[in-house]
Amino acid sequence: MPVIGQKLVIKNLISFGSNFTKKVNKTMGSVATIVDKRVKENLSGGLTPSDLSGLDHPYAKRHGERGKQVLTPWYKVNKQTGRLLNSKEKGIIPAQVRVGKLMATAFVKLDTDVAPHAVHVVYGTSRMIPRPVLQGSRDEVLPAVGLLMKKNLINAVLST
Amino acid sequence: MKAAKRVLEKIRRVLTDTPAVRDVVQRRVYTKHISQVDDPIYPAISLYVLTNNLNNSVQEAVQLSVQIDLWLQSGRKTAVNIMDLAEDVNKVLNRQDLTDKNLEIAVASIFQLDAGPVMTDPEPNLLHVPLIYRVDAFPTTSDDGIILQDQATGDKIELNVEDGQIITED
Repeated sequence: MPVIGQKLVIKNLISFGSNFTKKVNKTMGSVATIVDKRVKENLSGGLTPSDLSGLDHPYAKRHGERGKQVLTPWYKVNKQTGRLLNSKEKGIIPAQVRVGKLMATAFVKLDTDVAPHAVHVVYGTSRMIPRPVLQGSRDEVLPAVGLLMKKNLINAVLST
Repeated sequence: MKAAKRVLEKIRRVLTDTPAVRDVVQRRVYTKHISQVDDPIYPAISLYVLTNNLNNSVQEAVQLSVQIDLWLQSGRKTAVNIMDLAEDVNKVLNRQDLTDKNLEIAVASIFQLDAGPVMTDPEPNLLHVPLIYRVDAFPTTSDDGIILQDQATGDKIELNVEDGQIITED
């Protein structure tokens, strides 16, 4: 089978090992920052316990599975002590070949050593619906993240 | 019944028809979050739609994120028991053809996205494991067809489906 485009392939291979992975890591750092910002917003609901009382306890069972929806998005968490917010961490796992694929990861997580109740907020309890604040925040910024990655990486393989 | 509710009902039926699951929770698979159930009886499983997005290419098709919560009394059961139940749930859902002619729902795919840790819930003294699944599904018509709609022109095309597979195009 004839091979065509060898020059392009070689150029890609050369740039793959250096500039490309640097650009990927830098871009993933930006992705982590975008997600982190949205998670912060979604952990910073401003309703106090007395506000909630005045709003007829919007998360009470009588208001249904999503509650009374006094905040947008519905999974937004009200900030009380700030411990949950302080447990938030962001970072990246740099680009590397894993299982035959070049993979890089951006993450935002809640540290349960700092806020042990984080799992109960995110996954719910027998008395409280889940608040998928990490998953929801990620989904909210997916279009923006997609555009950012496209913009930053579309020419990365061919750049010198 | 909306597509999301049909999906939950189908999952409920599959789980209650699975002997290993039924041995633990009997028929107590609730199609809403356990916090919304009046006087729930444990052990139990509850289903909760976290996200429900419309698919743009297939009319009324949905992409759901569903949390399946397992609840066992911690005095009687251990973390090993609840992890065994999680494994049984995962096995049956990953293997199932969830297309259901009676419910008029076809599930194109279902897979586990995430699983939370084994947690303790002090009142009323429960073990809790959340499992998160992504489900792609579309409602079928009574003759097992699905309707595709061209987003640009609005034209509709009906496809026939058998066991979740598109078999002919009208």
